[in-house]
Amino acid sequence: MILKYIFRHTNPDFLNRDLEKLTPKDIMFRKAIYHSGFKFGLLLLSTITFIGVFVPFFVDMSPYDQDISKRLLPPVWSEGGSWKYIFGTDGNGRDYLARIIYGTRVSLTIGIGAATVGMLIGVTLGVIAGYFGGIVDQVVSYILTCQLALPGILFLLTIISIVGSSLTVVILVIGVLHWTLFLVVTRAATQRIRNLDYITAADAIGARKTNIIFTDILPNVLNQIIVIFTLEVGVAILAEATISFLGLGIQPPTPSWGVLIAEGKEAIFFQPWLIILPGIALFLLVISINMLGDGLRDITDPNTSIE
Amino acid sequence: METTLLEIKNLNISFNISKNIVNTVDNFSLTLKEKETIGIVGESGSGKTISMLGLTRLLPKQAFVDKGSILFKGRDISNISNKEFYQTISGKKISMIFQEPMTALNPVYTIGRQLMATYLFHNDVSRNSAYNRAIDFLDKVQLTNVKERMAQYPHQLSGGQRQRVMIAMALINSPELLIADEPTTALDVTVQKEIVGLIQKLIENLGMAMIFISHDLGLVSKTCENIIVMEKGLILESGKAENVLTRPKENYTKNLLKCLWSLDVDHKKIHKDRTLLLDVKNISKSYQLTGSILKPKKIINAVRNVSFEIFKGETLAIVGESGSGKSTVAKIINGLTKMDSGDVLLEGKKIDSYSPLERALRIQPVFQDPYSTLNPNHTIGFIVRRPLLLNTSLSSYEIETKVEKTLNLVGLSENFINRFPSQLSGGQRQRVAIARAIILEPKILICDEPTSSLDVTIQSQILDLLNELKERLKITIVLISHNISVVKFLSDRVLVMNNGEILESGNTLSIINKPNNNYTKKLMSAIFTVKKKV
Amino acid sequence: MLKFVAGRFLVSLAVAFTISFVTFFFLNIFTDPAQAVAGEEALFEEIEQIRTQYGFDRPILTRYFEWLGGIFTGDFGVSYYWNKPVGTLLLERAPQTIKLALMSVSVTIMVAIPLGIFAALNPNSIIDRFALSVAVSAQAIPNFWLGLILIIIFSVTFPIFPVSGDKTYYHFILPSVVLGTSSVPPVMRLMRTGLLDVINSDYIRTARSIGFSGWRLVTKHALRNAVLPIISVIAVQLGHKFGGSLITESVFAINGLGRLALLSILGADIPTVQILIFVFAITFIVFNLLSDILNAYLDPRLRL
Repeated sequence: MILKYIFRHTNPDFLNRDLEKLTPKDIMFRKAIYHSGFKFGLLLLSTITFIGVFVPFFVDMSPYDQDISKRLLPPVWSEGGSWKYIFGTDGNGRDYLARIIYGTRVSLTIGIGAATVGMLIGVTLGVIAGYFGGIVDQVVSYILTCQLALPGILFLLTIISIVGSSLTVVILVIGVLHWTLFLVVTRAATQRIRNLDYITAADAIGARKTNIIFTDILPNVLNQIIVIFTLEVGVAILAEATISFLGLGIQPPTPSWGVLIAEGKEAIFFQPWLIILPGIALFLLVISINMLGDGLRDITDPNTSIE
Repeated sequence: METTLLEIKNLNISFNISKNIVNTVDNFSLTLKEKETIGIVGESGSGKTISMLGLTRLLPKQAFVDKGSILFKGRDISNISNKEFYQTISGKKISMIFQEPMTALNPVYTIGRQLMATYLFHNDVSRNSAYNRAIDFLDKVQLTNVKERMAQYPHQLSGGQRQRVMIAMALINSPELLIADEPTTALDVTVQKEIVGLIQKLIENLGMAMIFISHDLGLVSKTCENIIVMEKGLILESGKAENVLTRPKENYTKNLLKCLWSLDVDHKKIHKDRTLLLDVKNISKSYQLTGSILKPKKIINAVRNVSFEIFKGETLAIVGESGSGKSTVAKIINGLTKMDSGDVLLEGKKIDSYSPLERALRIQPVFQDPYSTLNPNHTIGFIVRRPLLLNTSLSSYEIETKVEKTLNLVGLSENFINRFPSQLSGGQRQRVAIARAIILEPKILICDEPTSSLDVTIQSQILDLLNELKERLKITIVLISHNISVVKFLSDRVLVMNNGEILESGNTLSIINKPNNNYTKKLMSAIFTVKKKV
Repeated sequence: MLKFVAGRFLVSLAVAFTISFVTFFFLNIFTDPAQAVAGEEALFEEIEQIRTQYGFDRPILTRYFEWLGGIFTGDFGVSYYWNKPVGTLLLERAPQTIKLALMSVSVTIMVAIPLGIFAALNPNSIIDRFALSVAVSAQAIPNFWLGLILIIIFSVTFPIFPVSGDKTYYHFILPSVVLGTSSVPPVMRLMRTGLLDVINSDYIRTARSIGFSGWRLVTKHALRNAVLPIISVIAVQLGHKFGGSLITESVFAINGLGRLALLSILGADIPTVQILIFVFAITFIVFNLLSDILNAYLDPRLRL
């Protein structure tokens, strides 16, 4: 069905149709087709996700099996490397490729999980503050100002060091500290929309407040929320890698890329690939997510033209 | 002896949109003698502004001049370098005034600095003489406290004052040609007349030629000797103003004129039914502006102690300029804004004692802006259907029949049901908004500037539609407008508002022809109408 | 203007109090300060004795106000972990962090502003695309990793810069590049879009209609409008740098406030951590306040 939709929307007949005849969805789709950054980001992200999430089901590899006799083997392109361990092995003799591939899952889980937590908090507060305004808005603004003044990473580390670190804790804490962008964007969009005539018209036909919020406001903010969500996934992934690198996030032996880089730091003088490789993985994942997010922003922005 | 100042021959301007070249101005030609005034009339998108931006090399990035020659004082200036053009022509020989005075001046520099920079750019004189020149020109555009104005920033001036500064800036280098692009459209009606008068007086005194761009045929016919009518990038006809007005050759011009004439028909009979439908008693409303911590608290009395009555079946117009409180009154009587004091009685019952649904069945609004009036995420079908879904328990078959019937009533076919607002033109959107408002068969329709954002030809279609609905549905209409012609066309009775108060009320024709209040007189004299020649 | 500054000042003060309150409560309810002083292996009796000795058994509100009063009189408490007054620790470490923050903001300005201006003047050109890819990449590079990579390249492979330490300004070059890079994307993007908006504005069209063009148009009519918001953003970024110094200082082993914070967290040193959170928050609030005042002073529309 998706293929059929894509096929219908990419044939020349459709592409040459006048803008006035297109629905909003059609216009977005057409912008997506012409947006190279979006396409590149989507392709890269799909590839990384595929490798990280699905390949381990089909290929026999383990990120945990240790073999002390095979410690710190160089990757295949260096002298002494072999195809058996394409990325070499780490200080405990574990297959580095397997550890990096399994690290994708950790990053994606935490990124998506934390962004969801942040979204739930930020969007709820944003819609409430934007729609009701007045004192409610002022209270939310004050909370926002306080949150922004908190030194992010330091506070994050402090909480985790107290509460103790586990996957759930890391997700929750990163999420709870990353809702501000959702709030700012949702509130601004809600404020703008609530003053538009179609909201007054909905008032006039007798629609209730909840009906207006869910039928008129949220669908119009949705695009922006999706964009922020995508970008926040990237931010959360970087935050997790940072705190894991500092030793307070995901704990070894779980293969988080931050943990891998921290372990590789011991070997910075002689085995730099132990630092470089997981960093590149991290960079590629985050840049693909950011390009997707930036692309989505352009695509859903009614003010940009096609191409 | 009259010499030719400007001659444009076969100017073609194209836009580069998504790698497609779109021709926007086609074979534009114009001859302008010294001290002559020409008006270019057309609706939005007709190419009237673009052709002039092509002349002054101010085209947006995607646009470019395809071909054509421009002779200024006998010299071909279409091929000279940009550098030479900017140094010898723009601002010096040809200068321009734009539509939007609020944004046309740089907000971070003082008026004086901007005026002086304009003069110093083309004249090698001391700052002192530039200062005097600037003062002199601020005097010429009849601004008061000229010396203080020099040190003020644009945001400290009103729209009319800023436009005066723009005029001073355009004239300070004594150019030979002034291009005025809709210089009064963004201003209030009473200010409009003053600015037009000022421009006319100044170009006459300074002996300049002028090209006046406007969508308002009435205004152009009053200000210019010659008229060019444009549509879709083409010049349709041109000639002496009286000739174009009295003996238009093209259908399009006739249509434009017909719109003006039809608005000018004295067809009013006095409305007889005296059944009280809506009783407005001493309503007041003030807003407190606390927008940010940056601005001190400010209380605006939007509506002060306003009382009036609306009778069944009549059309009542509330007239006033922006900020007069007319739109606030509209929202209050619709029950969409709470009043501070006073009462609004709808059929004898307080408006705020109705539940939202009961109120919706009795009174409905139509708004000005066709772009924000419809939710872009909903289909036309859903937009028109939604009032029924919320308020009635009809079967889905009955609802669909009713939606189709209502769409037909406002002149749209059933094909629109699955379309989205972005696929509709401004006029079509406004029809959908009307359909949404009348589908519940309310007793009162409150139309807040229903045609102000539309082109003239579309305007008259929407007004015809409202007039027709009024006859067919026996609906009571409250019309909010700043446009006297629209009011004259549609309404039986008029209230004139200014600064939140009602100044005058009465029968439409008597208010228009014999206004008592000074403000009303000013308002009425500010309109430019074109009388139909018999 | 005065009223505005006073208003902003009051809000800032309230925010500072809220943060100190929240931090103090959080840290003193979820951790046991007596346990922290006594150490991991302390016996129950020892812990109880320390609790009464240090006064940890008194109500938390009393302790909060005592702590807050201490801050106002310059008594920041004593670090059990470092065995020093926290105030002394701060004074020892602050110069490194201030140096790092100022140098990294200079890096940001030197890279982001010219890049943003050139990108805006030539939209969709090669420069623009280059600037945009710099921004997108800088956003995706984890700070700590960039630090390690720079060490690998410039200290290990080509020994140009020292690996770590804070003895000379030379030691601060790589860390400033790392910390400065993280602010390049927002500043560059704002410079670019801000200048683009100005260039496409009506008042620039007015200036063009007078005859201004090229660099003269940009410098005389556009730059000032576009730079106004940038100044306040840089002030905000400077405030961020103090809190952000944690990672960079740890990677390059600079003995500044950030590294102190990390070590104190790892050592469960509550008195130091709560003061540091407060200090970083105050720095951020002060720079924000400065940025607001500066903005109001520079922009005639906000000047009262």
